[in-house]
Amino acid sequence: MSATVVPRGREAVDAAFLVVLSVLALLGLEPTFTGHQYLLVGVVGLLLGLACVRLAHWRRWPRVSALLLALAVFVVLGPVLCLREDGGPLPTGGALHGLLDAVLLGWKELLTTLPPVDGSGHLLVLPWLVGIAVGLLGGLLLGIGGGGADRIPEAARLGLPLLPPVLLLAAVILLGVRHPASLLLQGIAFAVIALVWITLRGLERTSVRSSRRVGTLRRTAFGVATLAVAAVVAVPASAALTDDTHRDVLRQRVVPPVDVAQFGSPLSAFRRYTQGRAGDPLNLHDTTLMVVKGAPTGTRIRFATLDRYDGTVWAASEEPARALPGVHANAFLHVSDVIDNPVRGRTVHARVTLGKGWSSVWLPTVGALQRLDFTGADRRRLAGDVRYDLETSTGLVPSGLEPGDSYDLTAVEPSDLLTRDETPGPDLDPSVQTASEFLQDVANSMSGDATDPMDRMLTIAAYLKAHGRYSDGVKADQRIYHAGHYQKRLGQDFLEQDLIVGNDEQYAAAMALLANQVGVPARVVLGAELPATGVVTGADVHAWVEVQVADGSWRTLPTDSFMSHRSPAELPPQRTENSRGSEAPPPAPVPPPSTLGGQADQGLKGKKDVDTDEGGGGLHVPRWVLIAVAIVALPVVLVLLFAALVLGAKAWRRARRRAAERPSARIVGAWRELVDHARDLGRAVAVDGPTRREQAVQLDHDEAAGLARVADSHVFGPLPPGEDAAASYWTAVDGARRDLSAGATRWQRVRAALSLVTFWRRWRHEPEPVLPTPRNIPEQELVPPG
Amino acid sequence: MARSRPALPPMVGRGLGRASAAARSFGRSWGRVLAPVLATVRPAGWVALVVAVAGLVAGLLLSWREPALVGAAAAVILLLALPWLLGRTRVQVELLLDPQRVVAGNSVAASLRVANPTSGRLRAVLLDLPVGQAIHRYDLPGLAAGARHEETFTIRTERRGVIPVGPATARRADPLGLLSRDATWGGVTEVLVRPAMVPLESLGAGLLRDLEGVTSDAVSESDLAFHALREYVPGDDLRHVHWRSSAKLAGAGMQQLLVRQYLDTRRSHATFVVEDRPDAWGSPDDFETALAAVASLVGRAMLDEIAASLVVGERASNTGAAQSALDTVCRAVPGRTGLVTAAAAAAAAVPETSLLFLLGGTGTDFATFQRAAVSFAPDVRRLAIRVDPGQPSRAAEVGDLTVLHLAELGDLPGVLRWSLG
Repeated sequence: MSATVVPRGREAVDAAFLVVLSVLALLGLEPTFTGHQYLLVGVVGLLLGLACVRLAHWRRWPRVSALLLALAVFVVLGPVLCLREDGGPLPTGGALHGLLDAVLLGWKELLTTLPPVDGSGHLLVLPWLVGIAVGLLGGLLLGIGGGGADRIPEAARLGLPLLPPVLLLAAVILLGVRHPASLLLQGIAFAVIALVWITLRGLERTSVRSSRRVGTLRRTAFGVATLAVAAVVAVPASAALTDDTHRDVLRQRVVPPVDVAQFGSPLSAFRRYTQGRAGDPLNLHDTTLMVVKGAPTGTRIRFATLDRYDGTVWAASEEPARALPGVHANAFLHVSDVIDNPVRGRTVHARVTLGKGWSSVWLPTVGALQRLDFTGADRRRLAGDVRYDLETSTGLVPSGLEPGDSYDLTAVEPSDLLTRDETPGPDLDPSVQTASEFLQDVANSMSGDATDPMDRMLTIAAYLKAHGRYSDGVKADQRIYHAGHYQKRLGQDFLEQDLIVGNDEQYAAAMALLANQVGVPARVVLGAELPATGVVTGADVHAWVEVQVADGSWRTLPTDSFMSHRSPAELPPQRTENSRGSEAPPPAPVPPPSTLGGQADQGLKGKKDVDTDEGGGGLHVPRWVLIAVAIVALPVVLVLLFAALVLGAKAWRRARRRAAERPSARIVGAWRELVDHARDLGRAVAVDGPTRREQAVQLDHDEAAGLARVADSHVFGPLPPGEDAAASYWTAVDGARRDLSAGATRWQRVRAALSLVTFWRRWRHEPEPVLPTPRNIPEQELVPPG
Repeated sequence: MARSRPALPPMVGRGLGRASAAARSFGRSWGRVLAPVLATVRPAGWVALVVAVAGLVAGLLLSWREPALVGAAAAVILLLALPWLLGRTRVQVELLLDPQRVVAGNSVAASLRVANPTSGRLRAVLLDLPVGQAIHRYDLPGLAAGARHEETFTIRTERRGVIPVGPATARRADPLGLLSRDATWGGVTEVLVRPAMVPLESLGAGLLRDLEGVTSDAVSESDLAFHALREYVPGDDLRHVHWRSSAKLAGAGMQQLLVRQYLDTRRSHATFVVEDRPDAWGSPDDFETALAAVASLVGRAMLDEIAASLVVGERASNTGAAQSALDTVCRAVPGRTGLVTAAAAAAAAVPETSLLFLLGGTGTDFATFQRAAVSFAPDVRRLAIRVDPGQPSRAAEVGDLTVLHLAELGDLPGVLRWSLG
């Protein structure tokens, strides 16, 4: 069977099925990438992978060459297809580095970026690699590479080509998003086409010869009907069997590489936004934080969501409730300009320009972010660094935002109305609840006779509003009301006082703790309400509480519903308070780091830069990869080094023998080369003792006897051999060596190439005497076989 | 090992033995039940089964909807295939092939007669008939009790070889061919396809010095063909003394006995040895050319009433019958034996060889032919045919070995005549 370059007939049909199935599987990356370049690159890779196998088959190269070809194609075309922006279209050193980088670290980057990722950047290397790999494997398994598939069972022959698309589908799902991309394409279409392929492959040797056509038609019709029924039944069946909310994908298991805890709690610095003492340079009450255009007045602008209380501060957490089943992993993930954030509500477009009061890592956002485009001069750095947490709707730029940065955002504002008849959500964080236990008595007394958790929480809110007083602790007589929301400040110095006095910081922190204590999942949000002018100053900043309701969404509990604005000034502080207040104000147990403090931020940024340099934003994986690579690579390098040494030594020896001064020495060398080769191959040929003719017998090769005779006649003959004689003798020996090798298995050949046996008894007698001398009369000495 | 094991009390040992025997018989009985069930699953069915299990398991374990859907679909089509298995599949099938030996390019007429031997009506089934690598599929109509149905078809032959036909399998299968209940009828019938041959002139014209395969040049003491008389030497068999001539000599005054001498009669026997290692042939087509040449020579030998034997690799025919040799031509396949080894085997298997043909390709050199020929007695006439499409056909005589270089089959008559004429 002589192969053509382009497969024909059955092979073409098989290749087409393989391509179609693989494309269907690749389409599962649709929600992962923006645009369709990923598909283009993947399909090109697929076809080229197949073409490599085909070419190797057509040229009758060994099958390994298909792999090498594919590798070459991957390296040469990779930069053009995938790295046009980073590294350039030519396979230069930089581009190769980018390619390798994307292969080794791209997976991590893909998984830690919130989908969809940028579909034109260097992550295209992944579909490119996968496409080529599937094409290559598929081609080899299909046997369009001419594989002799006669020995394997028929079922394996039918089913094996299905493996690459199936593996591809599994890989796409693993790397994909948390919901099926398209049940129609990766489910129904994949199933039907795969089953049709199996059926056709099972029938490919069968030709219908019947004179009656009706039977064939009927069978075809029944076959199609069976498949249709299967497709229709399988949809509800698979829905009943699986639960999409528990879909196990890698994205969910990846540990996000940003440590939010290091950024501290922005709530601790709340008093910088309040009416401060005159001349305080840190106070931002009247400083412009940002200018927001396009969003309606009153829109809640979120700076940060704080969902963990450790007894000292409310802070943003990395993974608040990972231990709880059914909770979306909470993680700050890389985002591209488009974010897959399925929330219903009012769409808001806004442009945010940060004012001189904003120098922080937190990214002010609105609602549930859908699209984010940085516009300022620094946009490349910001776009590369920005992270977003779907769960808390909080944006973060670890390298920091500066005044003057601006961005356009599109967001959806979900309905955040909280009513009394909602039931609390399921994601109660046990650690927060434990931390709020010191407020148990307070919660019980404040909630009165309400029993339902939501009811109790709203009763507490109403109580706080009714009995609480507001103070920023600025006026001289109010300095006793100091900042902070550590346990003592919230307990003894706040809720347990006769007069509850504090500002947003204490009220929101206490309210969220009380809500958690009565069984309503709650968290604190620091943000601002957009004034009509669109210019947000410190005065607009508030802290409010969000509670989770049964459907998993978070609803807003506005600041005004649990905090009054009445000043405590009318009532003189009571004695007890006085005495307690006259004590030195207890410093916060741990000085809460302020995000807005300039110096702290500078230090932080420096630290962050170091971290970023270390591994493209990752903290653990690169080191792990390096260690793994080292563990794998070191033995490989050693083995390769050894092999290179042995092969080099043999090549050097051969070259020396071939280039000996006298032609007769060359002929002797050629004979020794033949003997050495045979010994490498494991033949027991004695050296140092027997004559060449005796060796020839042990060599057990058709031409050995003749070669030995020729060598003898040249060496001992009346005339010294000429250059030509030596050259032709070497040619003959080369042929005999090839012959010897041809009789061995591949493994034997490899072992022979690396065998050290011929170095064993050589040193003593080299250089070899050409003429027999008394010294050279052999003592019988046999080398043990092997 | 057995010695170091603590000895079991005899009762326990016997009990264990009985238990394991019970387990074995249990396994056997399950095997008896399961085997027919498993036999209904066709290869495509196994694949569907694996897909179903793998898809559903992946779907359930990882909550992946797509694999679950694929697995469920596969499971559903397997379930839907089950009803198709119901019913009987007993049929009687008769396969007629005419002729069974054919020259490549001609067709074989075949007819398939299906009868319903039962007393009930037979529902429509599929009938699969393997013909060479392909499987012919027939949709049989429903057959009343005792009814017959006949399908005729022709088998086109394109190249030398053996086409196995059968056994016929009646299948009760689902439309997708995942499951089927089969009834197999009959065995394998072979169609032997001979290579296209060229007509040759009589080998006797010059090729054989022993005309009509009767006598050889070798003088023999005891045979049929009378050669001459010679003087008696002690040790001659007295039965061969020619009394009449001896008496005449005695009458002439010479006291000498004369004995008869004979010529050895030999039956002419052409032996063909063909190289079978693929690397000795320039291309597989050269191998075919050589076998076509062998077939042509065997065909001519048959007309000349010369016995013919053939050794190709591991396949040999040493009966001398031309039909048998031609069948071996059909069955010849490339192997790893080599010309020299095959020639040695031929020399042992066909000691009566009088004419030896060695066939090789571009990779067979003169020395190999010589080494192959050495196995035969020196009085055997040797010819080597080397197929080499790259060079013009010619004949060369080196020593006692005539080498015919054959570019293509059509040149064979000319080269033979020219080299021997």
